[in-house]
Amino acid sequence: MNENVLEAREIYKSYPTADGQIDVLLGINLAIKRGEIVAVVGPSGVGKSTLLHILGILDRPTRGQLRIDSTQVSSLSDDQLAKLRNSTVGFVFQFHYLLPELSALENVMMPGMIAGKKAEELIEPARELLGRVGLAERESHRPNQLSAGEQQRVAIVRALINNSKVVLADEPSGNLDFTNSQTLHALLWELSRTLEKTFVIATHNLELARKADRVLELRNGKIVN
Amino acid sequence: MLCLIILVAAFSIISTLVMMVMEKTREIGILKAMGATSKSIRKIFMWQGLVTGLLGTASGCIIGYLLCWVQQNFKLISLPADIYIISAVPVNMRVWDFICISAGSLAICFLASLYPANKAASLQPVEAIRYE
Ligand SMILES: Nc1ncnc2c1ncn2[C@@H]1O[C@H](COP(=O)(O)OP(=O)(O)OP(=O)(O)O)[C@@H](O)[C@H]1O
Ligand SMILES: [Mg+2]
Repeated sequence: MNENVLEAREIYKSYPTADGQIDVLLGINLAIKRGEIVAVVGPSGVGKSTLLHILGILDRPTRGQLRIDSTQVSSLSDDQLAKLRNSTVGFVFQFHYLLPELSALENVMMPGMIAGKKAEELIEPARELLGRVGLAERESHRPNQLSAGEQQRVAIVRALINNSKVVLADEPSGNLDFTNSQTLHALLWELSRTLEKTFVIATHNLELARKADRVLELRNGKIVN
Repeated sequence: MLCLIILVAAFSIISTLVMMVMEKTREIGILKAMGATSKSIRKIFMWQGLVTGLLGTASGCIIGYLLCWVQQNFKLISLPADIYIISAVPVNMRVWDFICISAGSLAICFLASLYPANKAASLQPVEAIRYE
């Protein structure tokens, strides 16, 4: 079996603009193993978010090959991509992006519901996950009744409910104060170790990056280390 | 006259739904990021349009029926007796009319929901969730 959960070969990404185009990614090659925690660093605007969106098949590269959990992605239709995203990828963004009308528990259950599972099957696993991040008591609260740190923890376990192989986190602590970031980082590590999840984390936070198994530095559209 | 009413109704359904799609852009993006397919997003907005249409049609039928019934029994709108043979505006309620008009208005709601629903379904997740 292939050890790599993610494999990218010669990924390019350009955006069309009013005057020509801007080339953001210029040939990205990488392989990420199961259970690995990888930090993606680089100055603002270098293309970290762009890369994460492509690795999470939220966006298509201009060209290049991406393999996710042994599936070759480029030939899939949009609907097939959506299904694959639902079953293998979890996202955590800088802002929590929880659905405001739903409770914490319902938010965590959402990706499972999209996968077609019944609510009854999802309640227990969702409770268990909320418990892991210390939010067992808050399951019926709406996102706006939670603090930024708590919202972000809900978003993290939402990314795990479908047993996703890969969690892509785009500056997950970018919006948090020091203490909350510390808590969040510790949780990311614990979850990754106990559940053997692969995390790819884009961050400006050097301390977070130092703790990663591997650091990928983006510069001028390429990975430089 | 009837055409105008239909046009106005259809436009208000379209604009309400388009507004809703714009307000919910981020939520649509979030759902898509979690793997919701375009088809399921389209379905949500088609349902929204149809449920609105059903409520509207049902209340329209009830109000129409009540007004006709009141006119039949209490002759609220009368006619000058020296000009017309009958003394009040006559009403003739036919079941078939109710059915045809209901079916017609539901069909209009369905058609009016198509554009906004497709607009929602074709949103690209990365565009919908840009932070700014
Ligand atoms: N849809 C788009 N259209 C045009 N240009 C875009 C688009 N999305 C991103 N870009 C550009 O691509 C470059 C990389 O953006 P990206 O968001 O990936 O950077 P980043 O490394 O995540 O930055 P930050 O650290 O500030 O989050 C930027 O110059 C940005 O302006
Ligand atoms: Mg970014």
